Amino acid sequence: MLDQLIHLKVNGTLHTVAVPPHRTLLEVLREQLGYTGTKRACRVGDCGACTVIIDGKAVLSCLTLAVEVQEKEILTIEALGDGDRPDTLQQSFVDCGAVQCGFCTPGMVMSAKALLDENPHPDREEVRRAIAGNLCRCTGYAKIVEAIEDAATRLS
Amino acid sequence: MRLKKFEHFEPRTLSEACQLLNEHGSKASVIAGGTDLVVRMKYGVTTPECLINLKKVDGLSAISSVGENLHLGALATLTQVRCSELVQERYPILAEAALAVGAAQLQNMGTIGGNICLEPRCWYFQQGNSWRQARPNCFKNGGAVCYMAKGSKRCYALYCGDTAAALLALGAKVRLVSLGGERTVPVEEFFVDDGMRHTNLRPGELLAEVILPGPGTGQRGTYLKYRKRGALDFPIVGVAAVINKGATAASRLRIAVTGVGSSPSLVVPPADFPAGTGLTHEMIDRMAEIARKQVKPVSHMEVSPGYRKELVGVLVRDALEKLAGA
Amino acid sequence: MSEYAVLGKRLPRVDGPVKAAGTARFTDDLSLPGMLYGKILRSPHAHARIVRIDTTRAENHPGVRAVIVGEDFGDYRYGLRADTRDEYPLARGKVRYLGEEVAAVAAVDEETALEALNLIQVEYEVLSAVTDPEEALREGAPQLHDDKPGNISVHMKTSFGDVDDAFRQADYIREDRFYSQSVLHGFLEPNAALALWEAPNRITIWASKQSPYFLYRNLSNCFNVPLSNVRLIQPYIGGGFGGKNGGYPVDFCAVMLSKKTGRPVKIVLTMEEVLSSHRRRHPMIVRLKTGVKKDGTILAHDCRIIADGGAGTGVGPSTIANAFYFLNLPYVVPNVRYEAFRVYTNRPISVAQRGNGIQQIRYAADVQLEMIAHDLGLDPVQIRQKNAVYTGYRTASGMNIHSCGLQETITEAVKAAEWETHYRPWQEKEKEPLGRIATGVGIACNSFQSGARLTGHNCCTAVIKVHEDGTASLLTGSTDSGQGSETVLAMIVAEVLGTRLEDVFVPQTDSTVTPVDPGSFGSRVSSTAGNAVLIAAQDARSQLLPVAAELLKAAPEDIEFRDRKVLVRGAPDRVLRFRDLTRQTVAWGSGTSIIGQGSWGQTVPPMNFETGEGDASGAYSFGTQAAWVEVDTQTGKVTVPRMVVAHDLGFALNPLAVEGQHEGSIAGGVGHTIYEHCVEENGQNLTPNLTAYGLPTVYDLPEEMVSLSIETIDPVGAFGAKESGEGTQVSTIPAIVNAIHNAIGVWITDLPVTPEKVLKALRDRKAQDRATEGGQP
Repeated sequence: MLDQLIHLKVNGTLHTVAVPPHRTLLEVLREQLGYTGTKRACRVGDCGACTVIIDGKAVLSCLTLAVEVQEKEILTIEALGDGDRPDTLQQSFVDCGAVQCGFCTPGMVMSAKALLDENPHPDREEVRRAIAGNLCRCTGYAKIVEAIEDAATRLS
Repeated sequence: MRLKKFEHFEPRTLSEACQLLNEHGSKASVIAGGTDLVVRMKYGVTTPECLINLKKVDGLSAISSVGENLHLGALATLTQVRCSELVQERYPILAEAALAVGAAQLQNMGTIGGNICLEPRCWYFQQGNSWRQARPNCFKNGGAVCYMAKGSKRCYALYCGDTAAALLALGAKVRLVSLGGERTVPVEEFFVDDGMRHTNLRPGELLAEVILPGPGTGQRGTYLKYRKRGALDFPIVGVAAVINKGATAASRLRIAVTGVGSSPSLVVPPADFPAGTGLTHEMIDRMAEIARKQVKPVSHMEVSPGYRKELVGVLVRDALEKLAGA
Repeated sequence: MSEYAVLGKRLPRVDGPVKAAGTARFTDDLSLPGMLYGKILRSPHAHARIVRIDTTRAENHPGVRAVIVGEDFGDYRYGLRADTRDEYPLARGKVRYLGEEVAAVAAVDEETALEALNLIQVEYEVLSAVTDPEEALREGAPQLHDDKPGNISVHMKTSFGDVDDAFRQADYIREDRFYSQSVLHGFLEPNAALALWEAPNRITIWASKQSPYFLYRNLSNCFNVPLSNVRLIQPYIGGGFGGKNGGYPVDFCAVMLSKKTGRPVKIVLTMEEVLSSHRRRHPMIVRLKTGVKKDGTILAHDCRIIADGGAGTGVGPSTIANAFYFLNLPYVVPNVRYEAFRVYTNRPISVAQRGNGIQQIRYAADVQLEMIAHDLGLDPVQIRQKNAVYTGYRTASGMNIHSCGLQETITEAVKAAEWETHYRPWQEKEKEPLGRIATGVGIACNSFQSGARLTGHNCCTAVIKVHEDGTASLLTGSTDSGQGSETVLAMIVAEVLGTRLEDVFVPQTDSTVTPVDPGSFGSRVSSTAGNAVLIAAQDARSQLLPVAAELLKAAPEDIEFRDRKVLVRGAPDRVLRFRDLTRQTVAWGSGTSIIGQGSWGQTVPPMNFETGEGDASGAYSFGTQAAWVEVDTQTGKVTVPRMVVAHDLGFALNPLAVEGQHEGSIAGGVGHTIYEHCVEENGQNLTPNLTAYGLPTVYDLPEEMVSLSIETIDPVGAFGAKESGEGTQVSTIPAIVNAIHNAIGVWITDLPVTPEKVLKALRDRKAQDRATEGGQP
């Protein structure tokens, strides 16, 4: 139960960090590595706010143990653009009004990114399916769906 | 909402995993996708001293044809299962059921083995420590009451796995391995209708593989899931129905339900009907009625037993109408 | 509205990029060197006397730095008014709901703090609890507060016109009971606070507050610190909806633990804590009696309400008053009688939630109007048109309508819903067999206040600092919890100064820097803060104007500020860049900083909060919603694939933001109607997670949402704007419930509309139909 030195590849950067096995990836990202863009909301897999991408798939970092994702490619919201230079998907979220309080946004963007990376031309149902695990109280989702479709168009 | 300390093992082979399981016995939990176990650990309802993590076990996530059968490694994720061409071609009902689980992230993380072994749940048990401390322990927490079925002598936690219903209807088998050897049992024999111990897994045994029988030709099936919200929710009722159409021999129909008891179960005895005949509306109504009468649900999450029974009837009818019309 | 250069445009929100980038910092994203982690111990009983608390073991646990209990706060209590202060930072003497805060711990990490909670020993003497408001009113019921006999938290009784006579005149009278369940705010960011106490008496706190100045005052009183020494810095807020208004135990405990330890302390609630023990919307029983003429003209309402207030009063008086105000609108009600009891129960405290008390009353009133229309064979659209209020109308209670586009919203909603095509009265459909999926359409109207009237501080202030490079900082205490007010207020500055949105920076609220403000509730920001910002911007402009006139050799009245330029009307060659003007003024001129200031509060005559007489707001919005529903007649499941909002919002300052508000209102409203329910058993919450609670996913909300803005240019609101984000949620419930009736002929008077209830209602109706048929010769 001692801390283990593990190597986590986050957004292309290799971090060496000492963690005990009972730390979740969400905790390590936020508390030890400073990736606070990934949000901590329900902590039990109900809301999707902590969504990150591991080896191309959207997963919940609150239910992932940090020690089990060594040697994997972990992408967080910080892998995309920053406030000055948003990437296309983030720009679409902003332009389409898909952001309100912004708390679900990083997780929502990561779910959308996982979708578009795998399927650049999703239909409406595929978009809805991709974000069905991400809860949003502010928007009613319509503008989020619109933003993802907009990004798909802009990217193609 | 933080995990308690545990030791973490990452065996590379199944036998190594079995060895660890043998060594640590009931102090150990086996983790695959973690979407069920980690939540229970966070709530403090499961408190293993060590975790045996199957993720690094070689070859455990393979989906492959073996003879006439299709073998799914227990570690295959639900996304892998639903996207597998072999599954889509031969057992589309299983892809349908995998797609019905949770949401994208949970399908990416959750495994077929984990989904089958899903711990029965209820809203009195699946709660944090301080919540549970506010009332006497239920069976699941070492007490002697069941809050779902007040006055009962057993735990009525509900089994809510989606894929198990499809596997039951398909007549699938599971391969269980342990240090002492292995056995293959039909899915219906794997489950036990007991919220405390809902599978026949023996101490030291692991679910290694799911075996889907036959080439899947001439077979049609569907999985219908009724839940409160369009995603994320466990089934209030899930119904899987499969017809194996014999061209010359008799056709066989299997219907399974999930979400209504402590294990998934076959309802309506497997029915045979003469070759060449289809399902008539009359037969469908009769089977729906039998299924409705057969299930004995308890009240849970604002769903009364009567309504849940009703839903079983509706979903069985819908599933069969869909198959008859297909 | 082409007369504006910035306003009225679909401009993306200014904080969009940082939020989409994940760089926007919310409270939980902050940490300070040496920071400790706080956790709160909660009551396992709905009602109990605290006999003894032993914190010794917890204090001695390695890594624990402090443990606090109720006594640490002395006799401090907080609440809206002096007579309603019934909440403690940590329980004193007694716990009144399951989950109430009893003690708190600060430790070196979260895990240690959690361990320490288990080491605190609390001895309780369990008391009998009352969790039903009607039972709580009965004689002999367990009493929650010694100084509030009968468990009455708020009582309001009032009457206008001659109600009894109106009922005598009425051709038709209906009396119905409606129930609206316990629902939560549903914000995704759990309540959080990071506090730093610096001896001898300075507090700095970062906390998730939509109305930070409540807490600023609370902390000053609680810790006996002058307001100048309370620095509340507002990080980004992950949604509020009424659930992040005031100070809560999480805030007080973070400060007290910091005071005890001399270290910064952060407390972040878990979602389980938020959902089971934080605030929620008032569950309400509404008994409504309405008399009408044969043609559907409303003559009178007689309304009795029992609101479940939970264990404290919170902002309850406003909820009870709101329900009364909006019994009077949006329809003409010449005679009205109202009696409401807000009752203490052993449940978590009910407060404001988007719509604060108005959802519940309008659900009852608008569904009942539909019932009346159905009973009398009247058209649902026409009965609303007939009763709609109009510009110049004054309610029986004295609310004055200065702008009203209600009729237009009805027309537009009906048109967008393709009503003529889809609507057939139930009487006609009734004769046909119900298919598997029955469809129906329904409408409902709403009205809402643009800035709630308050008993206390009512005014907003804005300060605008114009920098020498032509940019400006807007200092406002009106916070943006996601609704987009920061963007809209910045647009007003850019409009008046003739600059662009990106030239205006709105730092987040910081009580040391930004002007004091009532808060972001009651739909007050766009209109009230908007007017303050308008005045402040005009002030800044007026300071720049003489310099511009001199530089351009023109009369001040001929000068225009537009698109970063200063122009002379009628002389296109005389142009100055705005940044040159500011540089001339600030750097090269007298050196005076340009600081514009503006304050604005509603100037309507004071109202009588006891009787409800007078204006509840300076302006009222009006709107109509139409819902299309599909009902599965075998399972009872209701879905809402399409919804239309037509809202008289005065003027759409930013149409993109308005659509977001309309769509968000639908989301909250559909959730309230169909999905969400805080289920309790003996005061214990069975749904303390988002899945069991049922917060809607993308699949559960209308795929198609139509948002229409009707502009009536209100004389009071900034640039004619009225509210557009709360009233829009008021009519969602009745629109859906009316549509369900249109689909299957049943009335759902008990929320939420669960499939099981729908199916039962359908069965009951069929049984009744058969009985009626059988009874006829």
